[in-house]
Amino acid sequence: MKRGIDMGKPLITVGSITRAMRARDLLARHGIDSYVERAPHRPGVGCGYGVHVPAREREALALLRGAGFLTDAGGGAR
Amino acid sequence: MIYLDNAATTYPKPPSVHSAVASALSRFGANPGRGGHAMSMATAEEVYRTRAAASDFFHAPGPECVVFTMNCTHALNAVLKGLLRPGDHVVVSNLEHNAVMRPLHKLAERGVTYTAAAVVPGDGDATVDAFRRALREETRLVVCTHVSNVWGVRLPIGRIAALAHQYGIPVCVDAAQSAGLFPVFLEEDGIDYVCAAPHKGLYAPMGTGLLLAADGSALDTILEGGTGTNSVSLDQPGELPERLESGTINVPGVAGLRAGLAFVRDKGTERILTHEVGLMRTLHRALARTNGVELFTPEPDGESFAPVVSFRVRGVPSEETASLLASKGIAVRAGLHCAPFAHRAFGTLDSGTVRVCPSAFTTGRDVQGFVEAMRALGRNSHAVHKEKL
Repeated sequence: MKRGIDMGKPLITVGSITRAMRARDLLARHGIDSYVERAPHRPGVGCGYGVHVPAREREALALLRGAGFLTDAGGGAR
Repeated sequence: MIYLDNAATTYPKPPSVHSAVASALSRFGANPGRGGHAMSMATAEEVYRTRAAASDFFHAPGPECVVFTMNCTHALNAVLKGLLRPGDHVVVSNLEHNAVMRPLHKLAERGVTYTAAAVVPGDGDATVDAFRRALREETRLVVCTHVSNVWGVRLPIGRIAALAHQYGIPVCVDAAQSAGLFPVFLEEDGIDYVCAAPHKGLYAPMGTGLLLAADGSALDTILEGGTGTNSVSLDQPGELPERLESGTINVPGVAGLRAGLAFVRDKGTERILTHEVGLMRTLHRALARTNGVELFTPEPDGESFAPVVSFRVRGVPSEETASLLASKGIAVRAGLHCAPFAHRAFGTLDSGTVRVCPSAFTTGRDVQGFVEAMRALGRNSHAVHKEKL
């Protein structure tokens, strides 16, 4: 993961706000806290949202990847 | 006023809907899914909660399957124009609203054809057979109303969907008149697209529409624009709901929709249906005993016939009957109800009918007031008729 520019904390970018909220819900079902946040601007992509995962980031990333959240053209681990 | 025009739009709305809309104007005044500031995020959260509530209500796979549209007509256009290509054939029922028929008429200019299956009211087997006979090799979609907005005739959508899926044909249901009264479930009924009018049986404000798609990937867009994602690309994003939701949505309406869904869920669709059917049975019996009144459907039973009653008074134009009722403070809808197909099927295309429909808020006293007004009109028209003789 890469740190967001403005928030200074790890962010998993997933694309749209709906997708980010679904990702948050999925993680919550697995007992992982996360917060939906605006993703920093990415050259060549533009706007988007992500989930900030304060703890268990690797597990969260694996869950989201397994559920297909990180395959969108606008999303991915940052 | 005695309001019995609920098939057009339910009135009044629950107090919770009023509060939700008013609250949204002050609490959710920023664009959802665009900014990162607190109010934008709070607005997005409210929109997402409504998606989740609608997804639960219609048993859709998830919140991403819920697209907010301007109204049910917009949702139907999105499916018909997003899916059909020149040479495609569509099967509809012969009870469709113009929300289906006008887009199809327009698509006919591009080489789309359709066949109308004749619904046999109260006979599910015969109705499904009619749909089976209407299918062709080039049929790409079956689209049908769940409940006729004129006659209250309920179609066996689960069985129609099962039939269409045998041939790999997707099914779109116009649930404008049924959502909130009858179950409409994407997963259990096997429906590919559900279009709903939340300002009716879901008690939401006007200007809200729903398109639920189990998998919207086959739908091309009919509207493109800003979605808050992948802004560098001029291509519309591929994923729902953003793909079909360009521009700022009606957030106060969406907040009202969530409150409306909660109202229906808390009250229970079965309880609302039982209440309305009881009222319409009383009304139907009274009309059957009223001088000069012509009825076209049996008493609503809550199974094959929804609580909607259409009638006409012999020798009196429908608009005139509605106007006389309006002069007594009774709101009903006369004419063709934007459904000439449905009127043609029952032989009322030339005269139209007067339609009466209750809501969860309609009382027995309202129905009694309507019945008394109709009896008075009957006596008057009888007297006028005698005078003319």
